[in-house]
Amino acid sequence: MTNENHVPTDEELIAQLDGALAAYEPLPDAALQTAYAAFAMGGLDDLLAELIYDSLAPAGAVLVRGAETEARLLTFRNDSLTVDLTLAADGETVLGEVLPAGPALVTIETRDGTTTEVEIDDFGRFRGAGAGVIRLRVPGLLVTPWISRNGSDET
Amino acid sequence: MTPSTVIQPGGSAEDRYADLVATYPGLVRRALERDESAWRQLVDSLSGVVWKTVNSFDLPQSDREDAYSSTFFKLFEHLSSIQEPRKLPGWLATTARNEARTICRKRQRQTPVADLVLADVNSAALDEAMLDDELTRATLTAFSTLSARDQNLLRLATAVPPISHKEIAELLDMPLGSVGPTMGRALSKLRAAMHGYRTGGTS
Repeated sequence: MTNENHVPTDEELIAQLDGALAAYEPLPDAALQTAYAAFAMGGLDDLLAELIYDSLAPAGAVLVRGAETEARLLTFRNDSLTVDLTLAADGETVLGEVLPAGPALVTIETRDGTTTEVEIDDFGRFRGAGAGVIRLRVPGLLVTPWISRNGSDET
Repeated sequence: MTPSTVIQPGGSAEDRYADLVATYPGLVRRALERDESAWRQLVDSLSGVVWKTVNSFDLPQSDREDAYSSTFFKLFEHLSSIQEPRKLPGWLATTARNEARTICRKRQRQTPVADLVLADVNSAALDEAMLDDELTRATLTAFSTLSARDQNLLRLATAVPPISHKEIAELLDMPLGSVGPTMGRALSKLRAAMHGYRTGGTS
């Protein structure tokens, strides 16, 4: 393409067209930022797991004082995974089991933005810590609603 | 964002970008391990394929942007179930087309048969575009003389990393066997139109 008589090869022509199209229909930065944000937002709501068992559920009112002394057992499920959770009575320990086993990592998120990564063993079990209102996420697969030991769940 | 299209002679397009595509399994794994920079690298690397695919269809700009973004949300959602990360360019192109179709149908709810129509760069659209560079304008003017099908074959041919002829055939709803020959003819037409530009139209 250095002189008028040069006939561009297919490759040169395609590269030239690529550059021209990039000028004609550039990708807006806002769209790119939204694509980046998929990471922080954890994908779509499809990941959100449904609560299907709660040891507090039948008698939530009873737990006025039970909050600090009894563990809360929860089961969440979405299309990909089922997660059994025990929020231990010590106010901190979180025990869980992911079914089917396979995912290697779960994160425990707190309301103040702290994220703790916990390894899942070969049997799908994990043990971590999280006080107060927390949320569990299996990256790319499942996220729970916000939960707490005393049942004062928030959304 | 995407690597520039530097195409050297020899080897298939897929081979030329083998090194780039070979980074995908590692990036997917790291993104799943909550490495945001890996996710951004994936988005950067595959943006071109997705954007070119959605630009192949005649949709308002906002819809094309929505289709682009939601394609990456779909990717993130499915990240852990991607069996062959090396096939991500094709997977994303197909997903982008499906997202564009979904948005198209939502918009035209009253006409259930509404389907995607191929984009067509025409001279009116070019007149509105702000294009300073002479070669860019000349290239697009030549491009605008091609049929919508030829234009989109060539647009998809510029995607990096490349998408296969089989995927292009599905995207544009045309027989696989005609992708290569039609693309070749479209390139010849573009070259001829460009030649007219370069020699001042006196060829």
